[in-house]
Amino acid sequence: MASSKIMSRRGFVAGAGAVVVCAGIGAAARFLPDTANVLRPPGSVDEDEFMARCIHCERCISVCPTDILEPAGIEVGVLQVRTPVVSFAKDCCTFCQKCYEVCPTEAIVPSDPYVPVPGRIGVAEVQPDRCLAFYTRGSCGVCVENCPYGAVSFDEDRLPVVDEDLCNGCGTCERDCPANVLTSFSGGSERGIIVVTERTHAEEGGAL
Amino acid sequence: MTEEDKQEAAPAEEKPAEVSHEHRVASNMKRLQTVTLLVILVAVIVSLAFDSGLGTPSSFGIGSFFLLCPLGGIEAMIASGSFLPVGFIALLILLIFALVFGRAWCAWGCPAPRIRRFFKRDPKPAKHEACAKEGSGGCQAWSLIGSLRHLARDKRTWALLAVIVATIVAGIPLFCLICPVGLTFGTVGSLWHLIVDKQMTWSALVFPAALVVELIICRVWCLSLCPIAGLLNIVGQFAVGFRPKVKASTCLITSEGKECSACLAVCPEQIDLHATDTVQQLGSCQRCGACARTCPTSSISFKVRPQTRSSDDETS
Repeated sequence: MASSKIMSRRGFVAGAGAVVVCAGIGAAARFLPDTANVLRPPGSVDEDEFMARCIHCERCISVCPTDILEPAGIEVGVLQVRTPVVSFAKDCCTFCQKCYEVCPTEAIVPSDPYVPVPGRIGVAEVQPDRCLAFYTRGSCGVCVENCPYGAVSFDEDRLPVVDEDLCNGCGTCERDCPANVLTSFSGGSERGIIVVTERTHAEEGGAL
Repeated sequence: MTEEDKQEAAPAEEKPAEVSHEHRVASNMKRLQTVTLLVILVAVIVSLAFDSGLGTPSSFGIGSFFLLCPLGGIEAMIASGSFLPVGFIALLILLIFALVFGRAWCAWGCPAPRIRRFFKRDPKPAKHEACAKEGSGGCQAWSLIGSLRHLARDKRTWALLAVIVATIVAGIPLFCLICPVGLTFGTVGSLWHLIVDKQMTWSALVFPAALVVELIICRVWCLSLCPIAGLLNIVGQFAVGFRPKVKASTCLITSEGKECSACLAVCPEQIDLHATDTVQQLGSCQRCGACARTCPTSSISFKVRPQTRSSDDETS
């Protein structure tokens, strides 16, 4: 049974073939979008780097005290599945740094809410088609009142405007915005102000 | 001869005390393996239900103290091209554990073999290729070359290499996406998300479907394809603690020259305890205890340290 050869030629070819096939799969994976445009936990490294480090342990998703993190579904992307994405539907981020504390592969680093760049979740953008203040001038100012960092203020027409140097994407405005409820007659589910990724913000050339 | 026959046919109470002790220990091992698996499942559910940050087998921890799946940690370091000091320590701890207990993760923690067995999808049982008859059953001594040769012949070593190459090329931990451990607890997570948060994602259907392909349609994941096993096998070659030992004086093969493949038939790794390269084959021993439970003469036991030289009574 034990021969002087380490393995048969056929075995070696099969093994080498498997390695090559997997290299091919790895290369094909590069063609799948590996930089999904999703909101990541505060202090996350660049999306490229994040995807290299995240091993889907879901510790950050578990530890978040305001439960704003959830595992990405396959709809977000095949490669991104089970990585943490942010949802401000029910709550906002307090920058407690717990997600940074638990991440075993340093995909998340410390972030300071008063030094938004780098490390912020995203940038708030007012949605003129949904915001109540646009619908009825002077009717609503919840986001301006509630922003913990003073990043949202009124312009001369009493319309909310975001200061992108102060905004860290904490999501308080999105959570508190009543547009979804009070404009439910018009359909849609976006709120009057939402946090978008840096990439979206840059592409759209900044919001109002 | 007739004495032995009677002994085999006799009910458990009439066997000598040392015989039923081996069976009892091995049965307790099996019960304990169910407990450890349940503990892991409960930990994952606690992680889902409470803001505990406990995690999943990819990484379990409390606060900034954590253990890390060795393969996941290696993939993350390779993909990011960076060294993770705390992660590396976590890896070392687990690899030292594997140095003591070998492939024990597979029998004591991994859900994959349980799922396979639940659906009765075991690979075809092996038969002794050459029964070592009495007096000729001496096992090959351990040698580094012997270990390397054995690892090179194991398909899972190549699976590990393929995973590492794929990770280097893709730049992300690619295997983690299809790992049956990840898929199992990903399924648990998506069902939780569905029931508790009332949010449906395709993951709740795709993960179980992938598990069906990997573990139920394919029977040989654990035995031929698993790169985690491939990694633990490398350490396992040096893990001499708690290996099964056959008592030559009572084993049917060595003491009477009878044909018996009870231990081989139940071993999930198809390890032949009477082969010339048993020492190398035991590198993949999961410490599950099935051999000890099944041996008709209760000749197999798990000692903490192996015999350093063969005596008349025991083969090492």
